[in-house]
Amino acid sequence: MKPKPHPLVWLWYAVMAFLAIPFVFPTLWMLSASFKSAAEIFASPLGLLPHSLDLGNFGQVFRDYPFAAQYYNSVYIAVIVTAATIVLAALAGYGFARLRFPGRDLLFIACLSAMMLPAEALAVPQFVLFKLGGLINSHLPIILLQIFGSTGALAVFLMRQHFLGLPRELEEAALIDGLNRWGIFWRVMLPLSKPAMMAVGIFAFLNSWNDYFNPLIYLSNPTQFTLPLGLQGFTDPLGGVFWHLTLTASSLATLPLLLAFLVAQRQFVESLVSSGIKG
Amino acid sequence: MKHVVGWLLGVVLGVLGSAAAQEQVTLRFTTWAGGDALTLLQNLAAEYGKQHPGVKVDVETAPFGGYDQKIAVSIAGGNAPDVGWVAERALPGYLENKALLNLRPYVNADSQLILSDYAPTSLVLWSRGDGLYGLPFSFSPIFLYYNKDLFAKAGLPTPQEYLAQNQWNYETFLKAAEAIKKADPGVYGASLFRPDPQLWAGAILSTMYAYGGDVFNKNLTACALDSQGSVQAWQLAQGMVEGGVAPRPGEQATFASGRLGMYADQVSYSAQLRQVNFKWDVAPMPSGPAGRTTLLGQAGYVVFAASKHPKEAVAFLEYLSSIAAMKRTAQFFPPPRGILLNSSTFLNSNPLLNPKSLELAVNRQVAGARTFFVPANFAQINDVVVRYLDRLLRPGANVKEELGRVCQEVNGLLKK
Repeated sequence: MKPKPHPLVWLWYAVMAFLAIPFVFPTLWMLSASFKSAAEIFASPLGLLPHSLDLGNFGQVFRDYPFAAQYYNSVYIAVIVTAATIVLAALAGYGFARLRFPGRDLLFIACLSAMMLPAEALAVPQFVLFKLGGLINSHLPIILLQIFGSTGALAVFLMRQHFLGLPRELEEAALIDGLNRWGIFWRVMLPLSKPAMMAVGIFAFLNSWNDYFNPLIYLSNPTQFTLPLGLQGFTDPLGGVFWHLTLTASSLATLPLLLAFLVAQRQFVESLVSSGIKG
Repeated sequence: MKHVVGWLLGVVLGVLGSAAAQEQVTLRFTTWAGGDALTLLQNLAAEYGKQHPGVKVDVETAPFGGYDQKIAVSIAGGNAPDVGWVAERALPGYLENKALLNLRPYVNADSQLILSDYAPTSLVLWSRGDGLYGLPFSFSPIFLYYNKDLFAKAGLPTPQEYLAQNQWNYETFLKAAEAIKKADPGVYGASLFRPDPQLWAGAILSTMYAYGGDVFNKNLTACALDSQGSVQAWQLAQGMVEGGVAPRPGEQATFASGRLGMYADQVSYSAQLRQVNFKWDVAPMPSGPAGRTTLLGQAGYVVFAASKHPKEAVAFLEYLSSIAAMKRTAQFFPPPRGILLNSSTFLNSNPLLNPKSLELAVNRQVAGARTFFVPANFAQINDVVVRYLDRLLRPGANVKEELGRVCQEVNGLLKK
């Protein structure tokens, strides 16, 4: 027999739903604005229901702007960055946590320093380096700066802390059973690190997806742009914003992430809890 | 032997020939244009490349919000573009850093480009001493968009009709705004501000000029926001907000939504009115005690000082400034060359605006319009005003005192 819910549970839900309004409303508003004309959006600013389900904005976003290409760029860059960050952070994190070699701590601090310096201070020297490599106007600087920049450094730090927290006895047992260092890492430590890697992955993906500064500096052609830059392109010739198109494009850029989160909500929350990262 | 010499000669000539062919110059042109305007610039660049086989022009773009930051990093990183757009308010910063090329020697040598075509006032902004550091391509005064339906509902003459009776001033403007609000409490009568508070320096400047006020003194050494004319203009704006006639700063009551009776902006704003379901038209700004003086927005073409091909870059800039090219950019940007501005090409360039209204709002205003000159650290000064905007316009605000405080802070920044 199912236990009967406490009568106050519904009241509790009502309060929670009410408190959620400030967080949910802007997103709903953005979604509803994608179906409205430029004039309708601000005609009754609080109205969530569009007069009609007009898909014209969606057509215009794809037809008149290289939005599809920008979407593809954002997706493929974020996937590469996420995969590479996880691999790099797991390997480096394990090395810093468990291997003993001269200069280890100094190297670790050097790695962390990438996290401490603001992007603006690094912009010019980094730009000069990439120019020497002939990489301006390509996606490579954007990918490399995410993997080896502050995001990557934080990921290494998180993975190191995670490995430090795992009991040494596990490794010693594996050693006695005849596994070498790589075997210990691959067969014992990594399977225990899935939640931490997931957290690092989410973190890397979001940072890459939202990166505005590096694409601004390194890219100059709308078809090369990623979404954060592309979203700023829906303007009249002197920079006045076309809100209906900007909000439609923003909805399209947000929705997949939102859906992914809803589907995999439990894993996400678990991984964040177990890794100790918050918001 | 003869054979070998001939063969060698052939090789040498071949190598020389291919070396000459390799001397292709690639110019980088940078802009913040998007949409149709970007397509037009790309077409112009491609056509230029066809006419000049040795030159190829790449068009690069960045969103307006990050434009100057991107160029600053490019210049510092030794990768400056050759030619590009610069907005009037960013210009002093570029000049202070000596980032722009002096065009004067090149322009003097070119018989095609006739500077006397340009209204003399249009070049002042781009000149320092004898030097000329850019040529304007957009000469765009602030004028008034008005909602004809709301005027009809309030039973009022339109601004164009007031103008015809010589009664279009800030008194009739305020009366009309109040009447529109009274006829339909769900709308606002007028706004002197763009919805984005960062861009406050628009219509309110026209109002300040009309009352004899200004933001800075002539030499840009002192704040003039607390001068009598400026205070009166801001008192008008504050009174409108207090009376519920104008939206509060930052409130998104846009003209395009049909909820605003009158709104001041430039020609390019008309692109936002493509699909509206109300009738609208345009008129000059109202006149004030000091006359009818509106703000003139400018943007120009420049050549960056670090360009490795200054000669080719200037030639491309001159091509963009030619009558043929400006005829085509006129639909977005009122041309600064007098011949064009007063031509039927310009007056018929914008399908949304009828030629007669465009002539009233743009051409008749340009002559008396004023360019907003700013010091190199204007971005910081702008932040100060934005920070005070709420306090200046809140109900019951003492506008004079608040403007005095703004000026204290601005004067501190001007001394740096």
